[in-house]
Amino acid sequence: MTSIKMALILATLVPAIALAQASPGKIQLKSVAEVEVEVTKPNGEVELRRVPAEKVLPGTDVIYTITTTNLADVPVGDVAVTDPIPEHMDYRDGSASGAGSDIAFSVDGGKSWGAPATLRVVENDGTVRPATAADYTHIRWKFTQELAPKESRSVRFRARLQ
Amino acid sequence: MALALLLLLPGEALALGTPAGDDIVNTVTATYTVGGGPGVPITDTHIFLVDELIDVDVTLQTAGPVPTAPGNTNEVLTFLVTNVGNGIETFRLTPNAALLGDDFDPTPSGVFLDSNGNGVLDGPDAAYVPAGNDPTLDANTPGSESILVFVLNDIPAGPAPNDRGDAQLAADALSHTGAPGSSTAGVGDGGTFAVAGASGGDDDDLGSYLITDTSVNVLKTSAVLDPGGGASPVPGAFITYSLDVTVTGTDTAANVVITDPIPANTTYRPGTLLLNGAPLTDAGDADTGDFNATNPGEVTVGLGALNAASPTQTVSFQVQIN
Repeated sequence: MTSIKMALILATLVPAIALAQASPGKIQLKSVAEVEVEVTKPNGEVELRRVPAEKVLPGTDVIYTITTTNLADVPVGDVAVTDPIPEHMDYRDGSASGAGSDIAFSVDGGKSWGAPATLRVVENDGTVRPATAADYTHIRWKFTQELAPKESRSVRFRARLQ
Repeated sequence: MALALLLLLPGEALALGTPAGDDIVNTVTATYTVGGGPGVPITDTHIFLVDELIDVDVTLQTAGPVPTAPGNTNEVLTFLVTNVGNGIETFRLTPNAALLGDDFDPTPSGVFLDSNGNGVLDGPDAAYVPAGNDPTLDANTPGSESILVFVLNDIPAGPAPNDRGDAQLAADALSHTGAPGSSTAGVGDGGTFAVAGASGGDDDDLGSYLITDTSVNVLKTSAVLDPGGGASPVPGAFITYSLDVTVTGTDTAANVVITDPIPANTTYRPGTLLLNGAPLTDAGDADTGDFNATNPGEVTVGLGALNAASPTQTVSFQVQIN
């Protein structure tokens, strides 16, 4: 009880400090993995439905949806969501999406970033070739606009289990 | 009869998928600014387990139908059973020779596992006992993902030349079988789902036995030379025996060996053994024939592989009447 009262008092008395030194919890990040299954509807039509990732076998596509939510009561800016492609998975070309964000990829573990057409891979023998989707090590989404209080924004990509 | 075995090297069908039970970890990070300064980066991690693909391949390794004869026993067909899933799976093996579409039904007489991995059926190989030593195959470890299985069948007395009898080996995964995509929860590696692959978790393949129309024919003739220069079979007379060996039919007879006991009341005349007119030593040495070495009291000559196109092979030797 005492600590909660103290926290309330602090928050009331020094809001400026709380803003300047953001504490964990200003934004929330949630990563969800799903797979598509074929569902036959009563009328016989087959539709793809997303379900939480289970029965994932080599060759299965997994859809990752990463949702960023602003928990603060002020806007947050310069949001950058970075996701290393999980081990044993290959990014599916052209699958990254995210409204209101600039998407860049890295082929060197996140040291440098670029659009797919600009990325190059240096082979062991020194030759340079254009990067393919299987070369991507990281994806990054940079939100072009601030995230308003309580606002959520989702980005998404697809990767195939090796 | 010759058994021609073509052994494919294990590993051709090796699954390269991510092993069942592995964690797939996705850790995402967000950076941001708030109130003009950097916010504390936030991360979130999602983990799922790779489920087990249940998939098996059974492929006959024996090249072509096995030539055989009515009444032959324990004729071998060799199959390769491979776990083409992504886990460690145990398989039940079932031979079946009561099949439709052939001319006769062989009788299964045994199943052996190539326990010592040398590719041939030999002493150390274990007799297979269902539910006793069902093979466990690890799709993720090269060399452990497959096993050679020797299926033995007896040939009944009835069939005629060129009749064909088929025999099958089936392998069924123990943790799950069913339509492709069907699954059982909790029985895959690491407690994952076991999900049937394209094979449905079971597979089989077929081999054949063919009653051969091939026979080895020996025509034996003799000529007597008596001490007086005549042809009377009296004591002291020499008898020259000639054995003309030919093969008829469509198959090749492998490792043809002629043996001929010296008749009673005669004595082999040393140094008279000939193959196609060329001398063979009497000793059991490098050449292909001998007397009294391979078989006591008999002439033995190896002729190798012969077929209908081979020239007549003539073995001859002399004895003297006691």
